[in-house]
Amino acid sequence: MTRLVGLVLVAAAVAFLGFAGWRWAGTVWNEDRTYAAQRDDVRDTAVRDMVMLNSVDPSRAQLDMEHWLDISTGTLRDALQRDLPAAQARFAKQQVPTRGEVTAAAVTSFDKDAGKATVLASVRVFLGADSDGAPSSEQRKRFEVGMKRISDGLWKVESLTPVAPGGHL
Amino acid sequence: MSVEVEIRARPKKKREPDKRSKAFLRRWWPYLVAVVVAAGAFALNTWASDRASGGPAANRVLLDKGSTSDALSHVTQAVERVFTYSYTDPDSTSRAASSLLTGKAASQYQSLFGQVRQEAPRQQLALTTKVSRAGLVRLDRDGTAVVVVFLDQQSTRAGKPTGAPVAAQLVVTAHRSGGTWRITELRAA
Repeated sequence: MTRLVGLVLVAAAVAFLGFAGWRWAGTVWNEDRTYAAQRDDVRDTAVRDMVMLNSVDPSRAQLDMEHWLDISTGTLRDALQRDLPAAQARFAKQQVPTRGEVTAAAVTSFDKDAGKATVLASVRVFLGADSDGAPSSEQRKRFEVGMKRISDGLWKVESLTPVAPGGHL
Repeated sequence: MSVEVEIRARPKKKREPDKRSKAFLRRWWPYLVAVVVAAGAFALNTWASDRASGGPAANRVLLDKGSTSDALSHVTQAVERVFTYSYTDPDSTSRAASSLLTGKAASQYQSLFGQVRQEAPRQQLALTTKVSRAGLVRLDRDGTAVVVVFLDQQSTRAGKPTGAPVAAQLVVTAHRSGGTWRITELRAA
């Protein structure tokens, strides 16, 4: 009798373990989780890239511009490449560094299979901001950022569209 | 003598508890196994619950397509209403603000918008706010949404535009309870 009750309990415990294992497996092979993780990944990459694309230190502008080419692709990369000589001339005249800061960002579209995403980013650009002094001026910008997946887990900026006011008023 | 005693005593002491514990195990092992397995299952189940409710998928942005567009359209409408103002009909804006804003948002709204409302009657000011882009930062299952809105604002004095439309960016936190959305927090981005 004792033996029988014990075996029933073992069976129940094993069934519970099976149930818990099935639930756990459900969280591992979960489409929503993969989608959400990648969506957040795109957002983080876009934020980091927007900071870079809005920051330049004239004392090492060449390096900054190389970074820009690294993190961009397609039409944006082509445009940056074309603009390179003009940008070099511009930064040669620029005295103080600019530093970009993303104040808000949101993913508005994300196609996991196609590897495309759109991110809205609100950016503040501080002019003359360095470690010891307060920025001398501040500019607010806003962009619609097109992101493209290059390979597994690697996203690059494909387009950068400033959202100008007054388009539809 | 003493050696003999020791030799006789040792095996006795060892054998008895051994026998007893063997008997105990033989009788109760299914219970022990059941307890160990149940404890493991319980731990795994708790872990599964944590993973299911937490993690990146707790943020439902673009996962729940319906709630995503529902949150966006309601917040867009609410922001356009509370930031659109005319000196000819200030009450409609006040009514919208008191029904759509709650908690911290009410005082944040005052500091963002109070000055416009003070100056408006004397200068015959009106302000039209349109949301040109909106995106969700967060959307929780409990109905809390964090939204980035890009605003285009056109002000007029006595019906004539005072200049080009102006851009503004806000981060809006809103909460849905029942069928109604209310803005709980406003922040300039």
